[in-house]
Amino acid sequence: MTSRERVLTAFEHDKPDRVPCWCGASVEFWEKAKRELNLDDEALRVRFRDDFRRVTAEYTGPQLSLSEGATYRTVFGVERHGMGYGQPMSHPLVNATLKQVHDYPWPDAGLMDVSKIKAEAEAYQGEYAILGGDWSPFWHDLIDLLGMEHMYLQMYDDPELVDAVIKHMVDFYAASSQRVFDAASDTIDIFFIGNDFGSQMGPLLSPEMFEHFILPHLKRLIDLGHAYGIPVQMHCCGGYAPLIPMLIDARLDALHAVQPSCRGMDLKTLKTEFGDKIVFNGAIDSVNVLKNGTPDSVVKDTREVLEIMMPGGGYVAGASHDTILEETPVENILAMFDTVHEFGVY
Amino acid sequence: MALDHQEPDKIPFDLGGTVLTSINVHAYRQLRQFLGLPEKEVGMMDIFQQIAVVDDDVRQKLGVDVRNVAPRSSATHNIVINETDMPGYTFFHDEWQIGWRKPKDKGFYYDMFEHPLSGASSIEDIKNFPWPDPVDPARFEGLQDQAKYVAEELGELVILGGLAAGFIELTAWTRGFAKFYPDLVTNREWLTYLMDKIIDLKMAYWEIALPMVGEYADVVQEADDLAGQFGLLISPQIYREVVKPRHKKIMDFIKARTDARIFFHSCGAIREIIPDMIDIGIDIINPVQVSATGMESSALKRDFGKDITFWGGLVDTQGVFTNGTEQQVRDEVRRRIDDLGAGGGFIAATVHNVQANVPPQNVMAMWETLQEYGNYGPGGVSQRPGDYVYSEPLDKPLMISTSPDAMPARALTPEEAAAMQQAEEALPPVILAMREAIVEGDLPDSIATANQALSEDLDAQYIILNGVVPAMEVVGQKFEEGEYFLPEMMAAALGTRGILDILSPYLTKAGTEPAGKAIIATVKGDLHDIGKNMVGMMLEGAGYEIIDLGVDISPEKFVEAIQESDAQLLGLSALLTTTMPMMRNTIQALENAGVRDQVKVMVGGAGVTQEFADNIGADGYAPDASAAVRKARDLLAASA
Repeated sequence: MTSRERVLTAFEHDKPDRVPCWCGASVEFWEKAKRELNLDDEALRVRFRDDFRRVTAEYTGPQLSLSEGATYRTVFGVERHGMGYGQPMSHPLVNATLKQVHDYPWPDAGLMDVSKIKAEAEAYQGEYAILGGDWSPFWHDLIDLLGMEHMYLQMYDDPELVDAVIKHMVDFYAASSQRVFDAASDTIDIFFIGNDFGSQMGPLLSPEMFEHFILPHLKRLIDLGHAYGIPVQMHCCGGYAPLIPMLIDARLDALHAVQPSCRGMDLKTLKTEFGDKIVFNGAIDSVNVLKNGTPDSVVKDTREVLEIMMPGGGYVAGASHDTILEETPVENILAMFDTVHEFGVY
Repeated sequence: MALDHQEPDKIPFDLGGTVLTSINVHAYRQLRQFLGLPEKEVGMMDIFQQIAVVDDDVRQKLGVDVRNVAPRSSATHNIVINETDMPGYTFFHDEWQIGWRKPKDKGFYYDMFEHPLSGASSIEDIKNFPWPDPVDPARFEGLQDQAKYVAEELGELVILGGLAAGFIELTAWTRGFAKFYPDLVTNREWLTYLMDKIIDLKMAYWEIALPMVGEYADVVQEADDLAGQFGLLISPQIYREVVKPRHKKIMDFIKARTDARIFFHSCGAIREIIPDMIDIGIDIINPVQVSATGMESSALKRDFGKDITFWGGLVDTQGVFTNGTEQQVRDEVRRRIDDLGAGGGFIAATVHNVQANVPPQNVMAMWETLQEYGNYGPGGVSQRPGDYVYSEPLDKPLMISTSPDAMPARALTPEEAAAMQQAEEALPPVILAMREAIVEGDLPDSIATANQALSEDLDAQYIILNGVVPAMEVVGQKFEEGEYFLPEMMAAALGTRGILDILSPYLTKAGTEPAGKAIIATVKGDLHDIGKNMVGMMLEGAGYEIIDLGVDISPEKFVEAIQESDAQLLGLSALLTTTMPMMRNTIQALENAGVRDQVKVMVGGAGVTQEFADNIGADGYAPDASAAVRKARDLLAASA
């Protein structure tokens, strides 16, 4: 069975030869692992038994110089600073009127170069499950543009404005993904989108607010993937259990980054209640198991998770939090994936 | 024996022993019928509360051990119930000229509608008021004989009743709540003159009654409702400045004239002032409102059980008693017996009078459970393992106690929640409106109520203690319960901030100290500030002064900030596991600089756990903003 077949079988809630493996890592961890194991990028993916590969469009729009201290500029023009993805330096729409929202220089999806995607995907020769489409983190962009506190208040004070901002962003993201699919849908196996709607204590928004502000836009992206015959996997951190029934109703295929340490994310409950309706990806605790554990404890904990999550397919094994951070011992990650290889066999 | 904090054969039982531990006439009629007792005309023990005189056949059947001996009405004032002159109501005026009315349609109780001193302004107005005559001989007619009969012939415990309600209650009722609260702050001299006038009347009564009843009196009854469901109705400072010395005067006066024990009734969440009550010589508290904030029965027993007797607390008269199943009543009663019974010092009675709509089945379920589990000796109260499992767990919502020592939250029925609201009605309407505005996240209303409260001359600190703090506790609770999410919490915090902005000049003017001063920030390397901001807003809402250093703060800057301020709390936040070690470095830096002992250090953030907090030498950890407020309070209380 190829990696691709393995993943697609699991996505169809059927039993592949073994549980597929997923490795999401920070740049720092990835570089450390390459160094320690003396492997190049692709060899490391193989060593970690990662069954997925990813192809992305490239931004070819004007390259504006960054302000002092900025490390990154989002597609919607928000500069960020600090470690990793960092934090926004300003909130361009914090006091905007509805007209100003409509007049904001929203980007053109045509600026994304999709011409190389098909060749990039075909280079894997059907061996791996290919992730594609735009990551579409419109929730995070919304927080950047409006400022988090202001955004939460605006959801009550001026919902129309919040809706308008989201709509402009999702217009861009949907068009961007559509261009990818038009160019390469036959080589893409999974449309992978991402947003964080959960905190450790539960969802950030009440289910009612989520249904109003977020779900319609997610549904639009899910429908887009399905229109091209591509299943959709969404990344979401935190304790989002109360939102899962809505996501299933919206026909989302897979949920990535199941964090068992968060409120409401008890693995047995999730598997029993939703395991036959949606694929779960992750669930091996990034902090308590992978960061603080030893290879021996990782083997034990991984086996426990497999026992709960693997029956009947519909499960992809990996860290509970994408991305694996630098301070995680490489030997623990090896222990996790080797355990899946050995004990995740159907 | 129970009053001596010793274990008799079984827990004594009271139903109808006082006007505070009796049963509503409707419920009483149903109970008689249920017990198969003959129908008879039911006597009225207290017209205001519509409670029944519990007849001897019921007392015998249920084994009631105590009996009320109360003065009669004054001959100079007859209560005349007027059925005609107020549409929809029957009403009357009592001997203090306070007007009471009851809806004609399905009205169970009389409520106040007229306060005779609401327009008064001078000392002369108080002097000239037609006060009732406390020593009218008609009051004392037969009092001695009755006490003697109860003590000698019936062999029951004699509870000697007082002249009237508590002096704070009578002050507030004659003045009206709307004026009473502002007067406490801005017109205190006049108001205390009124209080002292009422106290003089009460003492004049005791001066006659106590020697008259003499050794027959086992228990003397006094009262004043000082708290609502969530907390004190009067700030602890004002209680200690104004109320406590006057209560002490009354208690001393009584103690000088009798060896009887003093029974004191106050509804609500009085935990904070129970030590004061013990201090001024109160022997017994009633009704032990176990569902109120901080009134968790096992913690009360643990902390105060040696020094005070609990008379009540057997079952909350709202909630399961009214709407629950018999099994739920049994569970509740069993739990309270186990919590309060050990070592004596417990008289079993319901929390306040049995209300009108309590079914007789539940009254008897309570009584039967007491018979079954209320015995002392082998296998009795003190000797049972504490492993009782409730057969029908109670449903949400949870009521979170704010007492640092209280037991974990217990379930509260919607009826209890509604009853809680009722208990709060004694607060000025603007305070209730403020709470609602905050909880609803309504900024304009929050600001409006703050201005309104100031214009009603309410004290800024009183507003914070009674308006803002309880409201933010509700918000925190809803957040923890998963009913509120970040937008709702943020909106409430914003409303609180609006109120505090308006009140802060008045706080400084009054020289009021904040609950504490806290420095908060994310540690070096971490820019994620949402958690830190939430903690800051919740602490602010709880009355703390916040110094927010922002994000990415080096250990040196923390040291400087501590040196420059007199903050008692330091809150460190980190989202990233990579920056968490910086918390340890920061604490180390405080130690090196010799400022570690000046502050309690709290840590929080996504990856932080209690174990990690212990490991790096922090003083406290909280999983979310609302828990952080409780933790802050615990830490400061422990260090005070």
